[in-house]
Amino acid sequence: MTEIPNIVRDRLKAAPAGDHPDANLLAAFAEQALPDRERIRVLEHVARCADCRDVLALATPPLASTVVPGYKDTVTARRVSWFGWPMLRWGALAACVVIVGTAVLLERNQRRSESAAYVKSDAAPQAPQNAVPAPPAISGNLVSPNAFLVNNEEKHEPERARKAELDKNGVFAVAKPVVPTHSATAPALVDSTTRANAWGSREVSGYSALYKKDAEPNTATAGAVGGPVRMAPPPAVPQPATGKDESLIPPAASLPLNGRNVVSATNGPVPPKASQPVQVSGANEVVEVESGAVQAETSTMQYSVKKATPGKAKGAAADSSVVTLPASATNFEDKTLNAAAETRTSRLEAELARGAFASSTRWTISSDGQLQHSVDSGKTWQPVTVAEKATFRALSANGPDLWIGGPAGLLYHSIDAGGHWTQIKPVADGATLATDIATIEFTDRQHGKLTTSTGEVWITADAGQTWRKRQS
Amino acid sequence: MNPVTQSVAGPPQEIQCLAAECYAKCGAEKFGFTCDDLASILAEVARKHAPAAAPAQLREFCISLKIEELVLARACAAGNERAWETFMLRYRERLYEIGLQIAREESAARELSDSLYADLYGTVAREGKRVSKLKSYTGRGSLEGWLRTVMAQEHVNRYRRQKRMVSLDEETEEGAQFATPEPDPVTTVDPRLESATDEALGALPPDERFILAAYFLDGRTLAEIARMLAVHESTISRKLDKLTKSLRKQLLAGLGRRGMSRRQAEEALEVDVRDLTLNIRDRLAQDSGGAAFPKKKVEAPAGDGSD
Repeated sequence: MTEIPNIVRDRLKAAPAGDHPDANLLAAFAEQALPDRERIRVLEHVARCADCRDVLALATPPLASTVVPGYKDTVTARRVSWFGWPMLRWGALAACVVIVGTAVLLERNQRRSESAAYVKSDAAPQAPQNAVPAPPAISGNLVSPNAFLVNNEEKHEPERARKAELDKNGVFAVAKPVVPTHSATAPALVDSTTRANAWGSREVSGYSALYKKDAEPNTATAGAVGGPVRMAPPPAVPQPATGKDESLIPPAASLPLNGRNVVSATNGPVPPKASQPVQVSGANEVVEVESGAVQAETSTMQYSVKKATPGKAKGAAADSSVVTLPASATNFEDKTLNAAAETRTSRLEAELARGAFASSTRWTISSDGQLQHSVDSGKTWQPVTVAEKATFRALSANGPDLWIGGPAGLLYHSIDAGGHWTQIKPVADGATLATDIATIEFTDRQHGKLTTSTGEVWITADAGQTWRKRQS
Repeated sequence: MNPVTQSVAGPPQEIQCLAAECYAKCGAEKFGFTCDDLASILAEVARKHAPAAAPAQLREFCISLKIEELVLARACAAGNERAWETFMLRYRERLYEIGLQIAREESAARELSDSLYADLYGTVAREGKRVSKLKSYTGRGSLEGWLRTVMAQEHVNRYRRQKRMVSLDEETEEGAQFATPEPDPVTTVDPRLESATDEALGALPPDERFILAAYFLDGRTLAEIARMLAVHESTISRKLDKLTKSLRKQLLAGLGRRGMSRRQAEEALEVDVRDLTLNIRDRLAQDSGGAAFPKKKVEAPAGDGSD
């Protein structure tokens, strides 16, 4: 860093500071809670006053994951303009990356489709190769997966029919990934409004919104972030593709796996109704999906992973990408490709999960001990139900990794931003934690400590698997 | 419960309406406050921080306050037991942790948090009434942030007091000689340089001046400065780099306007008279002859264990 002349140092020191702001103003300044005019006045003073700078440095909270308890839905954060130059700059960069990435993927898919070897069979004749239309134009920063899927749907009808005949079942199973648990998991009730609005990105990030064919409309199974996708052999249920365009258009709240879901081939899945609790199961379930192929390569399964647009979920950047899983749909013996698919999918999930936790995401505990969540930097808050009749006083959030504690050692942990909750009972030296948890601090997903009202400190270095106790 | 505030005039209508709206949500009732009490508290804070606000702005100002925490603090200041229970549950351990983050040492942290706790509880009585520091909390920021700031102020004050009070015995034991220090050489800085510097610094926006002061005077890291201004570290790094370069240009331009040539201005900036004086002193020390008693290293042979 370039140094400054000594004369500048001297004159910086010599400037008079004026009246010192009181603790209320300094605290509000540190929390970015002052209106612009007042903030500038305080900043002018602090720029000249070494004592106040020292106080401010100590008073500024560390980069903490905890939100101040009792923080309500008042607007205190400085507004970040979506149309300011910094946001536009990054938005333009993101748009370029998306366009280039999509073009590369489309190019790759095009090449694969042209050079893919057809499965040997005595099936229907192959589709003429010159009948492949050009891929849809990529406009703006979003590729419409629907357009792409529809186009490919039309051109590969013969392929699908042949594939459906070859693959008798026409169905392959996608297993819901296992949610890692520390102890017996009680089913968690999560507000579907919250999930639909705020977790649009997470909803479509993986297998979470696949519905069973015979499942109730409001039942959704949520996938864990980063969990593996297990491709099981298809059961013997023939499900010929219908080729309807509507079925390829995924509703906002669902995951479009091949643009289809099993609830209905014509109407699409029924998203959860607003304000209705959704039973989220932590059990491992197998969800069946039709294998309607949507592109020329018969051996691939393709689904769109789409982040929520600004109109659907506040705070989320518009983005979409098309991921092609390799030949696992029809060739279950190709374990290498299956493993690659799993790695790619789980990495994608993790990336989306991280992306979902933009700086606008906030967590807090209300004055009556309820967990609340905001995706718009604290402008509005939605309650999150963790457990029936449970109140909490301490919270720690590291991206999607949440810890929440309350009286009598009540402690819950979620690794998917409140999608699933696991009750944790820390045990150390044969004793279980039974006192009120006053604070929780996790510096990362592995390392954290609890402090109780009696002064005990419980420390873990393995994300709560094991604990040790220290008396403060 | 005793009224917490005595308002000179009744609260404005906007504040009364707002108090009625948030009365249920903010928990004032469970701490024994009436709606009028709440309105009085809000009016008091508004008078202090927004004395000239128009009615519409008054409402906005009050909405921006942490009303629930303000009510809790005022209830504690008034001695409400239930409020103290809530306060203890939420902030007792937190006070100690904040103290530890500030003082970075357990005993100092404990002392700091205990001392603040005593002030919050109101061990000092004035005219027979307990005076709690919590009464001065106005809800502009969070209660935890206010506690942290108050503790930081106390810590800084203690540190500065201790720094001034130096134990002579300790100094003597450490071998410090209390000889008369040499007077600093009197240097006069070119007044044109001073005024050009003041002009350039005065033209800086407050955040840039803050960054300069925090980095070059206080020696803070980019990360610390970024945290204080709630921006990314890379933003501070870029700003600082740009700032130092543009400051130099501004100074050269200012000196040019004051009659210096470019070369003179550059020399004036790069060569500090005090540094020049020190350099001469160093040169003189180097050019002088060897020391009268050269330092000689005597290495004793390793003993073979026998005496």
